[in-house]
Amino acid sequence: MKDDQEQLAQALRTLAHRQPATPAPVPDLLRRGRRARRTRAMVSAVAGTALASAAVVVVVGTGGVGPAGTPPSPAASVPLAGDGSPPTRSPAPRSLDARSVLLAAAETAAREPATSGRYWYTRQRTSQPVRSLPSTGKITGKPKRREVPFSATVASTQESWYAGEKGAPSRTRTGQDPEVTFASSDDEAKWRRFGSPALAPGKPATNDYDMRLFFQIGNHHFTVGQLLKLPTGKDGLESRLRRLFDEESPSDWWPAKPDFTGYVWAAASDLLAGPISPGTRSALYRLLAEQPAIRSLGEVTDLRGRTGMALALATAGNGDAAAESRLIVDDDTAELLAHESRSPARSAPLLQVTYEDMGWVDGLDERPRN
Amino acid sequence: MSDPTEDAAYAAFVEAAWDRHMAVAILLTGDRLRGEELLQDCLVRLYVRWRRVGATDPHAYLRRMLVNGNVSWWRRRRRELPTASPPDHADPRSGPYEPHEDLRRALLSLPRRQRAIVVLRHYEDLTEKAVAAALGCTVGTVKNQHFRAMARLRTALREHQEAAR
Repeated sequence: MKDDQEQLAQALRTLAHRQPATPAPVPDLLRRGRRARRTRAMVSAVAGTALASAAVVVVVGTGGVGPAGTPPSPAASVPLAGDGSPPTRSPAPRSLDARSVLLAAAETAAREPATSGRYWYTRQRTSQPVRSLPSTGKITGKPKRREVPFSATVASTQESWYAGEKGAPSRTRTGQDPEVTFASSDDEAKWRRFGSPALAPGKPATNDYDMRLFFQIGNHHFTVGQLLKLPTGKDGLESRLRRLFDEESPSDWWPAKPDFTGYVWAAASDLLAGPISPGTRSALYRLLAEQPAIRSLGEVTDLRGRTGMALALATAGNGDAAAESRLIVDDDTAELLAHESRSPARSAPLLQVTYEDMGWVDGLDERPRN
Repeated sequence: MSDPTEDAAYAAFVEAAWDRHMAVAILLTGDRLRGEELLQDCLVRLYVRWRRVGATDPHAYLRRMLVNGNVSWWRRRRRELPTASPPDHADPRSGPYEPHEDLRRALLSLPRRQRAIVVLRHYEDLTEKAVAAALGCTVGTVKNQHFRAMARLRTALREHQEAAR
């Protein structure tokens, strides 16, 4: 038996090396690698032009490409324009239906190798409109929310190191690279007349926690270790999420406890940026693919100019609660690029979270390679 | 977008990794051309995500891409690549008899994952645990599939030898 195996190993070596070795085509691989990266940047630039005209959707192929062959829903062909009006340029855009996009993401996710490390690292940039002004210091009776007389957006970056081991410290670094953008020079002038109040945090803060930080599914907390143990099959994950959903108290939700689709969707926007196994990621995409209310908006660019497929779910409610939530997924890697929330009543998104980097590292303050 | 230090680290890795992983790719695909194509595709993908590979071992990451990667899936995305497959090898009986040709054919008759297990266990000399990690399955599955693969390999080799007579 041992001899047998040694013979096989020898035969495999002969088979693998029977032709003379060629040198590694390093320059060629570097060129192709750079081109692969550039191609994505170029596609982003083209999509950027469309964005300038306020339409969010870029035309992609026709529907029915995926294995499911589900026709795209009529709603999927009506993109929500940034300013709430229908896009004026280009013929009616058509999108791949959401189910196909999600099933493709599920397949891609399943193929990605599992990785590990001591800390799960994320770097996210959050952009939000200025909704209220910092208080002026005088506390008189009830805190009054002052109407903001100008339109501006504040963005800043947060890095997080989520410890995997029990007892290991975690860290976040918040308020990095703050940036205020006024909707127009008029808005900036109004802000000046208003006394130029500070709109963004002055300097970044490093926050150390002598505990593990949590990810959330609804109001349930999950450590890195618990996330890694989530079921890797669609059915297993679904029954687990249903159980968690049933345990949720309606009083913990505003304006109301969502339906199961909304619950899975909200969980996905956190979990897809978390350390879940390729199997769980794939199962999550499969579960999302079964939710009928999710629409595909086709290819979009995120705030960093990366292209991905946008998926949308409308959330019920009035005013700002009647929002549309979006997930932007990299169709090459099935990674979550960004999630956003938009309201038809407002021109600027209510929230944009862009994941600039994520992955495993072995120490606090380390970043995934480079 | 491309950073000189990053490119240098990548280039050094490719130099070091090329021969070893090329051998694995040849054994997995059964053919030098396809093997090189698979390896090159995986290395290009590795370049794109060089940063994201993070604190993991790039050799192990590349190995996982090789054994799990679906070439046709990747080829679909690279439209400049000709879709025609390289010509199949000539009938073994028409040329000089090559004993490793039998092994090549026997390996190709195995399902993809079983073939990967044989190559990783007996060529790369990995432990069952390392093979399980590369394939993303349990050690039990590796043991099981390895047993089946070896049985199938023996049968296939015997059949080829009988057919060659």
